[in-house]
Amino acid sequence: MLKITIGQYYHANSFIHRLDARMKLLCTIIFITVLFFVGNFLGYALAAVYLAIVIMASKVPPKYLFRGLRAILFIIVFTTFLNVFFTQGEDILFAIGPVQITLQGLLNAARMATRLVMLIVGSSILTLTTTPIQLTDAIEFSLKPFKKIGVPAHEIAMMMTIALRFIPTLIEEMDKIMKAQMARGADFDTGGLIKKAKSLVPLLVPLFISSFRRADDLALAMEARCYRGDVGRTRMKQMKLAMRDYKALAVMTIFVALIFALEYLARIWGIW
Amino acid sequence: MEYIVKTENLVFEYKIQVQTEGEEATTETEAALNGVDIAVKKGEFVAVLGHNGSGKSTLAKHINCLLSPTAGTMWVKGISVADEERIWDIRSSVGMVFQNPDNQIIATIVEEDVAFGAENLGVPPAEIRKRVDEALASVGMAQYAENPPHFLSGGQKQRVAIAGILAMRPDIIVLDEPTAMLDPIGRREVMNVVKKLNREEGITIIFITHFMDEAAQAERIIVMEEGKIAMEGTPGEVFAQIAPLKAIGLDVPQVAEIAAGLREAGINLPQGLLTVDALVEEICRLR
Repeated sequence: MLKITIGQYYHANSFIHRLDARMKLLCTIIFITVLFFVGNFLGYALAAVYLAIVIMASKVPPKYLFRGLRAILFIIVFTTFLNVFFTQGEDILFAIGPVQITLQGLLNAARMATRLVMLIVGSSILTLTTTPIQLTDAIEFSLKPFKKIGVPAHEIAMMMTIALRFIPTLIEEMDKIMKAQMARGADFDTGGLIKKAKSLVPLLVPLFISSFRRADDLALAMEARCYRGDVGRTRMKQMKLAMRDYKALAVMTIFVALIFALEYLARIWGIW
Repeated sequence: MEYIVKTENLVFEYKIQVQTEGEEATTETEAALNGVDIAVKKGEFVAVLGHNGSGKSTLAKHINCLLSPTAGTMWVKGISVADEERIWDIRSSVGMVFQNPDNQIIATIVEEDVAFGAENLGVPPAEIRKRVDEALASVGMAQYAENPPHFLSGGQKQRVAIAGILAMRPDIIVLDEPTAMLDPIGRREVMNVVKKLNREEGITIIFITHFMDEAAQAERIIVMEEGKIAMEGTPGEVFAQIAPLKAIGLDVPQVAEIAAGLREAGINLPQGLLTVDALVEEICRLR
């Protein structure tokens, strides 16, 4: 069975889990933005401490969290490599032929890697502590102001919900088709990349056809249940900001203020 | 007598492209419904029988305005389906359950899916919550409220679909072969829920099926064939006509066939025996 970790949710009863999804989304966006302003390592240390506190508060096992990093390990290694070897700088540490390794290069590499790791961990906390449906609601809410300029907020959210709903169904179906093809002698495992890619065609064609049929059925079922877009619609689960959400926002604000103060000091003192 | 669903000479035609080799494609008109007259009373449990292509699904889709008639008329709660302004009035009082349990669940959590229809109707949030809990309880799925639907069995998914309709508080539920893709246990679960809703909540049921034993549990059976009504009556009356049923490619429940065979062999049995228990009781009485 294929494993897909999109929107993976870790169920626990923690302060972070109980926060309003909109507040979590806002805080995550602020955190990510701030990461790109920070240039000194004191700032990164502070951000790391902040992340660690949030992780502990979320009750998500760190093992679970860092598993997500494996997927982007290649990107981290790759950017580090590029930064180390291709950053121009004055303080040459040592040179092998035409390749120079500079202090600026090493620093840049470290900054980029730290940012990437914290970015992924930070956003994983959001998806691990928020159910997909809450997240979609939060996205719909945050897109509402853009409705006036023609952003279909409700439709985007509905599409995300349906996509999330059908991921397991389609995986199951893919599994079934694969087995049916294998029973008739199809070979998905051997051969080069091109041969493997070609063997996927008899898999994807039936999957596409059945997806269209499902889409047709689903549209009919939605229409039968009086769905007509966003017209006169209410929601069973109302999003309400509680005291804890304001507390979280206050903590976030203090964190941002500290980060900027550190950044200012670092520039005056000239530390990295 | 007030009829909740009534049709008069209902006709539905659709166009198909016919392509024969060496010739240009031509469009032909085919009639899925060809003059159907039905009348369903409030609170009735009607089964519509027929094999594939008999027009029974097309008829079902008319009741919810998913299709509109080519000719003839249909009234649902006294509203003509041709009245486009009141299409949502009709849809909100007619719930529809489809064949494929996977393709009618919209949300990633059971209770969210049950709420979907009521949300579309603009019901206040607290009221939706109440209706969702009640609906899940009456189909016996309350303990699965927070589960993702893809872990449920086919029968459970169909019961969730029924709950989603109950939350809209309909007067009529149309079920379009809801058991065709289920195993025997799932079929029984769905049938029991449907019967309970009809009996206890007085909801009018129009149950489309090609399973004889399911149709036998209805109050009245309408048999369709080639877009027309072939037979109509109580299960006892319809299943007594073994030869005409077989002529249009339908079977009769096993019990009815055995009873007919015994009658032919000269054993004195009454008409309208449809369950094993009833047959056993009659046979025991013979001694």
